[in-house]
Amino acid sequence: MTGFDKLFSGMRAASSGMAAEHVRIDTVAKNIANANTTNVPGGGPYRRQLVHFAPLLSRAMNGKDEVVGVRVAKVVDDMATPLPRIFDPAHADADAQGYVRLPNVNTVMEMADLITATRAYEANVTAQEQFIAMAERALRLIQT
Amino acid sequence: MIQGIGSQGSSALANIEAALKAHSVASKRIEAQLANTAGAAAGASTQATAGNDFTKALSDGLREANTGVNKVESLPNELVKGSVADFHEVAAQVKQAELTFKFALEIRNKLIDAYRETMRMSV
Repeated sequence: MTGFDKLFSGMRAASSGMAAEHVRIDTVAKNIANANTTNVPGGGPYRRQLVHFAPLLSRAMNGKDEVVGVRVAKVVDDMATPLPRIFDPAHADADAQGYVRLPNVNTVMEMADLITATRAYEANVTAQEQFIAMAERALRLIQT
Repeated sequence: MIQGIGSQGSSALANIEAALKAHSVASKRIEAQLANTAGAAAGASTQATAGNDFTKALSDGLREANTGVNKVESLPNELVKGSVADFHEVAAQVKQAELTFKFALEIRNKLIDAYRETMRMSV
């Protein structure tokens, strides 16, 4: 990390947060879009996807890792929430008994996730705006 | 606008380097004049070293600022080509380059002001 990058580390941290929340919003959109997908290429219905975050580390001068932002560690399938089963013998993906397994996507929950992700994204945007405003105010100090 | 920053950056860097060169020439001239005066030589040489260190630090900083601006110059092309996945990173880098350039420009203005002030001084 060079001198200037260090000076702007707050801005870069906020932008990494925006990127991470962006992935979360994308994932929610994917979950909502697939709320009725009963057949995925691997077999079985679509499973809700979850995003896990991890700190973004950078090796500092003293050899220690320091947190410089956030990153998406992994996007995993939700295996804990059970898949609901409905009786629909006419469905193409129905089993021998006529039951269809639906995705474990709860649209209401996804909407709540979408709201928290959007608010988190906006918080990062505000942090970045404040950083820029701060830098520009400091610049005005030199100009006078 | 981004292209603007980049092209301004390189021409401004040339300006600043020219100003720095003029500054070091002027300081050498002053140093030579001071060296002629007996007794003041020791003080002058230490001052000149300090001046060169300052010039070096300044041009190092400017080079770093220029590297940042140049890096950003290629970003719009990469964005259009689709090889940049994260537009937040692009926005942050563009803003960082813009602010770095503005700061460098202000430092350069201050330096030139100081140089002009020195030149106006009656000996």
